[in-house]
Amino acid sequence: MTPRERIFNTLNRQAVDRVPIDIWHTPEVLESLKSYTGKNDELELYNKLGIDKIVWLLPQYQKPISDPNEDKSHDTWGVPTRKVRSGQATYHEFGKGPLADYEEPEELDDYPLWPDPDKFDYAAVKEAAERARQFGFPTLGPWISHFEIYCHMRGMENALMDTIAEPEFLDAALDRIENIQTAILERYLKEFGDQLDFVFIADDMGTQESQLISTPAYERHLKPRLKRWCDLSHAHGKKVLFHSDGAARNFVPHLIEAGIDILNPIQHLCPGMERAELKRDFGNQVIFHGGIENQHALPFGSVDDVRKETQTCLETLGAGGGYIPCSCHNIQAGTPVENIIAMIETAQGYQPIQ
Amino acid sequence: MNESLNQLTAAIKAGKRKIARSATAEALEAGLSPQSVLDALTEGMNDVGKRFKANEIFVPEVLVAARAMQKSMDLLEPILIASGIEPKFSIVIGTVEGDLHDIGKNLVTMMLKGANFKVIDLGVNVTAETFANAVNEHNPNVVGLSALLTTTMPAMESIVSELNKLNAPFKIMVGGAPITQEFAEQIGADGYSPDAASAVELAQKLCA
Repeated sequence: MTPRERIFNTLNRQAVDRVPIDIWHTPEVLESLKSYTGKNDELELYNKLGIDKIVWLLPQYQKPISDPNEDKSHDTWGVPTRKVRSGQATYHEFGKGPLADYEEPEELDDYPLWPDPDKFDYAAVKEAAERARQFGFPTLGPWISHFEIYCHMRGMENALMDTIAEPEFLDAALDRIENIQTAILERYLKEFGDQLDFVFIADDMGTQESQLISTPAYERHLKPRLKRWCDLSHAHGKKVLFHSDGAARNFVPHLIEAGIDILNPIQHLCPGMERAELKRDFGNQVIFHGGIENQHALPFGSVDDVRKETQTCLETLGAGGGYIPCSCHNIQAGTPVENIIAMIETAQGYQPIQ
Repeated sequence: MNESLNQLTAAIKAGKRKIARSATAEALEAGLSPQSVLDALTEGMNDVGKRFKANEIFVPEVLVAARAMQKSMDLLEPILIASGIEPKFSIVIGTVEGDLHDIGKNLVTMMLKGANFKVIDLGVNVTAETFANAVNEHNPNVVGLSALLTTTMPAMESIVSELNKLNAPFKIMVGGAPITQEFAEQIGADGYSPDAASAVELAQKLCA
């Protein structure tokens, strides 16, 4: 089977020649896998390792939005970012949210850096999709989000407080954030046709310990918006892979009602996200993607710890199928390559109990 | 209890910053003791902490409560200082070197202030040397270390090890998403708490 066939059969709860295995990683981990495999090309590397990579189709923004007078760069939404180092890792840290000091919804009209949905490089995305197909890999894109983008633009603490203190402003900003990305999603759905397999929607709804915002706030501000994107994706025959970190258990029934098909990344150490219980309660309504623990087992555990962790995910989240094993979010810098290989090989060699 | 103090406690619980400020002003103008105003404020934050720990409210509710508390403190703090009323316990707190994440650390800071701790907040990306200097300068009861990233957990370990070499009677508590009780014990910290409300209880226990 090709990786794409293996992933689709898993989604459709049909037989597979072996369990699929996907991987998410940081740039540092990609470098260590390049050294390990001797392959410099990312897709060749996945192919060599037998990874059933769901290939990202992310649109690059064409319009230059950095201010030449400032030694700073901005993301697509005009949020300042800078590169920082944390131990062995390097990542982009967000600066002050450009909407932090806005008070009235009308002020949003004057925000100068709303992205133009037509100024993304869709041709490059199409090329990436074609290349993924040559390897038999399934594809995933664009990356769209409501609240996460709002948090970047407004500043996270402000954004969280807005769910209580400024609901009208929050709705007005979310309307704009939604509409711009609906236009991007429509272009993906119409222009890429069969080259696009899954729509990726992200909104982290859990902290390490509990839900991030109240359930009524979720139902008012986010659930109907998620449903609109799910409905649009389904109308074009695409399944939705939804991402929420953390202890998001209380939102899972809402996510399913809104129409998600695949839930990622299943941070099972968080309260309420225990694997067997999630599978029991939701396993017949949603496919699980992720699971393999990434705060302790993968970065700091032994090879044997990783094998056991992967095996337990397969036996719980994967009981009876309906599970795509993957690292629970991006494998972090400094994670031993042997641990990553142990994860991949354990999934590939898994024999379900009949 | 005085009406404006009841109003203050209720405003903190509900995160109403304007009412928190006006109720504080009213109470002080009416000549109520600064200690009684502080107690009303602490009662409000204590309730917020309890409900947060019980998963009845979440981070946004705590943030608006803390923002309301700050509005009250803006008026109250100069009067407390002038009256010589000082918190009994102090804590030096910071996010460890290499880590710039501070929402969790800020939540702990606000809840500690709400429980009437003196908090010396060193901010983010704090080195062992900066922590050690702050310990020497402020002689705190507790030092609190925060980390969000797995890649900065080694920095937490080396800072705790450096702090444990200091000859001062403070205790060390740690927290942050990837941190566990097991990790805290392994690196030689005196305590770990999984959330901001528990962090206040832990700090109180370590001071006792």
